Amino acid sequence: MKFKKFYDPYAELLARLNRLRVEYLVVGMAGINYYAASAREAFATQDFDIFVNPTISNVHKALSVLTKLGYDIAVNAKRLDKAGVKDAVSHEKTIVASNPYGILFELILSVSGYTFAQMACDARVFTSGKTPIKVAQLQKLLRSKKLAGRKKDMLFLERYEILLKEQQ
Amino acid sequence: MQKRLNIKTAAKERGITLSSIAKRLKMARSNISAIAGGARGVSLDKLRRIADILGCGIDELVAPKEQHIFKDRRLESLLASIEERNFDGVDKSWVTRVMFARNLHFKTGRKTTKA
Repeated sequence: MKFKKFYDPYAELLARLNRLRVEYLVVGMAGINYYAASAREAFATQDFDIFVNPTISNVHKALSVLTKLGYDIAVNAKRLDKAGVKDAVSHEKTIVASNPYGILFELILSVSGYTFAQMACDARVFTSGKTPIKVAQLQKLLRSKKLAGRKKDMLFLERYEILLKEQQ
Repeated sequence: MQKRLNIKTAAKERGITLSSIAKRLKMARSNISAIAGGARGVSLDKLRRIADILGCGIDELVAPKEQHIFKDRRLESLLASIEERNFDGVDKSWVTRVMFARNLHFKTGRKTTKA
């Protein structure tokens, strides 16, 4: 049985970020999914969260990759221009990139409880084929959700706790 | 409201007493204790001097104290074992494929800009 080659926009973006040496970490639900043992344990999520080192040059590099791939880039639902990048970095605003096919990335410039350096110092480097993928440590990802304390994060932690108890 | 700082923990880890920090800063020991406990505010300059004495960064002093994620401590050890299983270099190409396939199935994409 032959399968068609599967285009993976997430892997494509991460490969390009690596090529441009963008300092990034996969975080959020996407990051937590990297620790799942199988597809059954992976959580559905609308967006793919990428924590980028919040320096202007690093964010510019990440945005150039997204622009080349045809993503529409916005902050607070307004299209992002060059001047807006500086403002987004200084106020640590989340940058959202989407394409007409519904693929959505969030470039996150700050997370609850940790700086980029604190998250990056013990991050895992998984692979996707030959592409290295940097993912924040699982316990830090969960602790960050707890520290954020949003209702959706607390509900997620309850679900994750159930999942862990099933594994015991 | 003042914020509790990790001065006591950082000092203990380095075998430095609060009294010696106070002495070097020419402050009363009770003042250092009050700063560490969040009962008294501290200027950025003084915080930098405390960090210098302790040989650490300011971020270590102001970072939130590590707290447990789940009430059940056994789950924390389970998390540690999950992290051990997922070591550097493990091929995880299936993760993004599964996420992409699910997104295509449910078509959950949202608009990023207002019309």
